Amino acid sequence: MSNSAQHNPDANWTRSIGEALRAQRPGDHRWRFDLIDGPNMSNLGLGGRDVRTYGAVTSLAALQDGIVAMGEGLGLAMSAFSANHEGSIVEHIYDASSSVDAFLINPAALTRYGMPTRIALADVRRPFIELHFANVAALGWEGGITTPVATAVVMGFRHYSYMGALFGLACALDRGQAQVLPP
Amino acid sequence: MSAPDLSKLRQSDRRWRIEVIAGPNMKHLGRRDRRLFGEIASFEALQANIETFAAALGVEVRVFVSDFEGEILERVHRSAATTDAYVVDPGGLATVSQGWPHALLETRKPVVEVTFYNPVANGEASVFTKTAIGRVMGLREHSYTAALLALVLSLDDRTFLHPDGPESETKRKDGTPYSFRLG
Repeated sequence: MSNSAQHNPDANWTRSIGEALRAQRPGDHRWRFDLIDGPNMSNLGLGGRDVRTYGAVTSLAALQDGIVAMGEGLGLAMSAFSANHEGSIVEHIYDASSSVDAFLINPAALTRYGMPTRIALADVRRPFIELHFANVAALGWEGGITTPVATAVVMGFRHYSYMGALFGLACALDRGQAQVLPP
Repeated sequence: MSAPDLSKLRQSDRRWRIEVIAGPNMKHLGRRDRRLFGEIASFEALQANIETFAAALGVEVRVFVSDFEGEILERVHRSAATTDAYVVDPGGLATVSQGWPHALLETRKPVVEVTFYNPVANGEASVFTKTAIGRVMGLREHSYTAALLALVLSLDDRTFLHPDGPESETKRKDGTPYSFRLG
């Protein structure tokens, strides 16, 4: 059976994918994941961000709803946040960390210069996975400012980066293999 | 309630042929630095994980590991015509290979780079990343399954990596370079 293109990504579809993947996890703990999208990601959608890099995702809300639904299908407790203001992201990381087991963050426009974000992520001592729609290293630089302290990175698969990362991070946490790197 | 069948949820029913190639030193998993590679017992254990997950996805994987770069080059040359995408762990050649990235580029097939640990945190600059579609690093052995998931969802998507999709998406030279950007 083929499914029609799920560009949103559609939350019903991602939830089913999550439920199917749950059987592939090596554990079943209800990890608390927080998804953060950085500056300019609110501009996703027709007429906004370049579709050749970002694909046909129709909005940031659709993207985050789809990823939250997949996480719930996987048996995780999900929350999501986004901001165009780095200060909001910094405050969110400190505020949310006590009730979060791991962060997934697309630093977006903070990728190169988000030093306060990097320091916040390193301070709270939680595993975090850095996400990108594009292969940013192909632009000629080896990772971004948060990359040297990231537990893991998934990039280049458009919104499927988020979906692969969610599953991989859950499996790594299940096996006690999601490292917090030194600041 | 039984879990939905992952392979039935995909946007395409194609059984993608994916070549997984691991480079020098990876054959000796189990004897490598556990701070970077974790507790995995052997390469055979990794291969079993990959094959189990590929079966759940409904795709074909062929896993190859070698300590000899020349063998890897010949493997890439021979497999190009019957392979839809490559998943490559450069192993000990990540920072120094010339022939392997070139051979992959000449297949004109999408390439995904995977690593157990985050090489950026170790100051290692990979020579593979610029010509890869995407990269998954830092999730230990789960990097491989996360990469397979993201790759298969991307191949299934006719607006992205599906070989029957628009050529402009797979041969573009600007923006994010793709691993098969040779004309």
